[in-house]
Amino acid sequence: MRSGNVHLACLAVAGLALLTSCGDATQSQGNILLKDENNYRTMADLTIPVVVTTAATDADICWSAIVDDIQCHPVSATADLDNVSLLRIAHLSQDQVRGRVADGSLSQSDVSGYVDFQTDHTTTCTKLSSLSFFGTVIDIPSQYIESDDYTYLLLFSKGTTPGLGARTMTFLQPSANSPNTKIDAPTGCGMLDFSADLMSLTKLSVPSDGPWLLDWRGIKRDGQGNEVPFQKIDGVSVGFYANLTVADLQARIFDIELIATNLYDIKLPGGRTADLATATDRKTGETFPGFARTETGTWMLALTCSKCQNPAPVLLTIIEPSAGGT
Amino acid sequence: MRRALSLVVAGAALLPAACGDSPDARRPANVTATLSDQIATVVTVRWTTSVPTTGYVEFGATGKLGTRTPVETTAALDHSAVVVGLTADAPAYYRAVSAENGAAVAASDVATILTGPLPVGLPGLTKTGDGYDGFVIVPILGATTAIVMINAAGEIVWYHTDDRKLDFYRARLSVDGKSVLYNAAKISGEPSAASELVRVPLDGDPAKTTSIPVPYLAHDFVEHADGTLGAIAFEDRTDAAGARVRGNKLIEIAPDGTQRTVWTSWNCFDPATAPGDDPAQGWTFANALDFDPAADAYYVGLRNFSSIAKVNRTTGACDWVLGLYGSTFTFAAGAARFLHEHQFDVHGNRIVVMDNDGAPGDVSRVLEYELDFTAMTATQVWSYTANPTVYTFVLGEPIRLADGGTFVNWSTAGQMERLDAAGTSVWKLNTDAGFAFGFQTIANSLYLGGNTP
Repeated sequence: MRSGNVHLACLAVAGLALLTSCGDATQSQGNILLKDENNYRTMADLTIPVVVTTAATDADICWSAIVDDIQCHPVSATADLDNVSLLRIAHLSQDQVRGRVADGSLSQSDVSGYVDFQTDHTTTCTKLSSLSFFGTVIDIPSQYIESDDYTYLLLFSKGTTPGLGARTMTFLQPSANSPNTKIDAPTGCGMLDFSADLMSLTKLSVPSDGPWLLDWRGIKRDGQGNEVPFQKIDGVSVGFYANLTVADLQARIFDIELIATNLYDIKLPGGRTADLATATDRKTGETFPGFARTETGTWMLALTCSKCQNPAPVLLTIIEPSAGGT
Repeated sequence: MRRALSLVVAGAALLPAACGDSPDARRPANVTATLSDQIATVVTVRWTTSVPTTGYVEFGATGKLGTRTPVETTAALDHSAVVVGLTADAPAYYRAVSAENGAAVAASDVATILTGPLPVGLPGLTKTGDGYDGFVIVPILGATTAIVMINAAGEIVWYHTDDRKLDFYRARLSVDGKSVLYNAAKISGEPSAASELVRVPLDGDPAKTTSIPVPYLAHDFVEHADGTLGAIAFEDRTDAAGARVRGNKLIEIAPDGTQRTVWTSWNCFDPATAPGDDPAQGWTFANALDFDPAADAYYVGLRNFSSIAKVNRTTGACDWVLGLYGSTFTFAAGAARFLHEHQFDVHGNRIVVMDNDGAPGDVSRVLEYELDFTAMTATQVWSYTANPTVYTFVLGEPIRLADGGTFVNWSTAGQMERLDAAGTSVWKLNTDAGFAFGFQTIANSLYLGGNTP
């Protein structure tokens, strides 16, 4: 309970309350307020294959067998993959690493080594010994070793930013007993068991005619139940799906960007608010026209994070255009 | 100007001069607060007085305030103060205060302003423990390149980025209390001829941001009390066979811009007899710099020598060298040896060193030695390894604190720790995967070069 003094102080400025706050850092700034009850719930589980190779020995790495990513979208092994990177993770088992990769909670202190190889988009093979970082190559005899202390994770990624854009992956397990020196990257489809519950959420009521000032400072958890990475949210997307139901979207969650009739985006520099009126059509660039449609369908809204380890939207909800807001 | 508002929240000005029968001419009036266009957590407060006064701003996250800017040095009618240390996207409370001889004599009412959000791209930070109550000023490397100030709660309260495509390795609060200094350089592969020492004001104003070109800067720099900057840089020479030898030099830039070379690797070492152990990185590969004003001497870390040299600022001679190559110290029996060390902290006859590669396996540690300057022996007296262990393959910095504790920055592991005098970790900060810390400066305050006003 607030003290009387503070309460009186707030009363004194009641006329200006729309512009300031009285001790509450979560003062909303919009007419459409997102809450945790609006957010979808997801379940993600990764099955990462293991390739056992000879410890302390160079190996051939080839990725020509990659034809799709972990979301089962098509991937060209030559055109779409920019980086092959090897993470050496200390103190975590393969199972623990799998869990942290699935929920995007890997910390930098977990990573005791990182080397990578930028592809030339023509060949699909390299040598383990070709991986380097800041000009320093991997020292295979001392750094690719059989040890309970280390887990090795090989990533094949779009983009070259460490830890981002992985399309498929495999654990490497150095073993003194293995004669194998060939690493064939597995294709991605089938590794990720991902489900989303869009049916249980509370639909987000928005005014049909605007304004549409969206405010998400009230949410506490992302779809996986983790803390919201507010300062990494860099996009808002609003999608309309003609003749599709919420159940349809739930069933095709990996394709949610592909099956939209219209998808409107806002690129954010930061912050916790966005005006949907500034969204533009991803294909045509036209400004968001509002929620009036002649055909039936479903409206979806997502808060996205292009630089997060986990590419799933931080928030995804179903919009219910109505006379009022929240 | 993004936002300017000044709103009275509490009318109780408790200072005697504020409630008299007649208006106090010293009482701040026309108080306004403006968010910085560049840094959404920085607020400039402006006010006027009817008579010339000096003043300051009290501020905080609640109406209790609790923090203040330095007192103005010159009495005036128009006043301003830059408020730093505020958290993002949160209300900040403030009031302007007039002071005489440092004591408050009149104050405005308390008002509030809402700070803006942090920009996308800064790392997520996770803090555990409460055993640190200061600030950290540190470059961020990796997925984002920036300079940030972090409070004890692990929140970024100040940030600065630039797009010069160089990395930043060290950040410091300037001794004049008005700016942040950092080096924009490149230490991986070929060093950059476009490297600079950059000075950005606390409010981030690009019009007041300046830089000093210093080609081929290396990892570290210091600022002297008079504003002179000392920085390490790369220097190439050729040997008798015509081959390139990449050593280092220590450059001073005086406040008037004059540059002079204080020291080079060749002052103390001969590449023919002391070649170092990693020629791919050059010869000496100086990577850390400290300055001891009492001794008027620099300490230079030499990665490829696994050594630290004390350099006489006047003569450029090495007073002593501690380490693997060129050492003038002998290590006592049983002393652990550091390998490819980075930053260190000399305090009296003790030195703590970030030992990046000396421990078995890929584990980094902090080693402390007691130095006997008569017998020229180094005796290991302490070591610390993080739990769980971490590996910082470059950078890393330990600082011995006044209470006997130690602040440790495990740079590329994205982890900082505050240890108590017993060596127990009482505060820890971790980044998300993909980010690393450069060399840090710790401070009790973000004003007066780190000293509490």
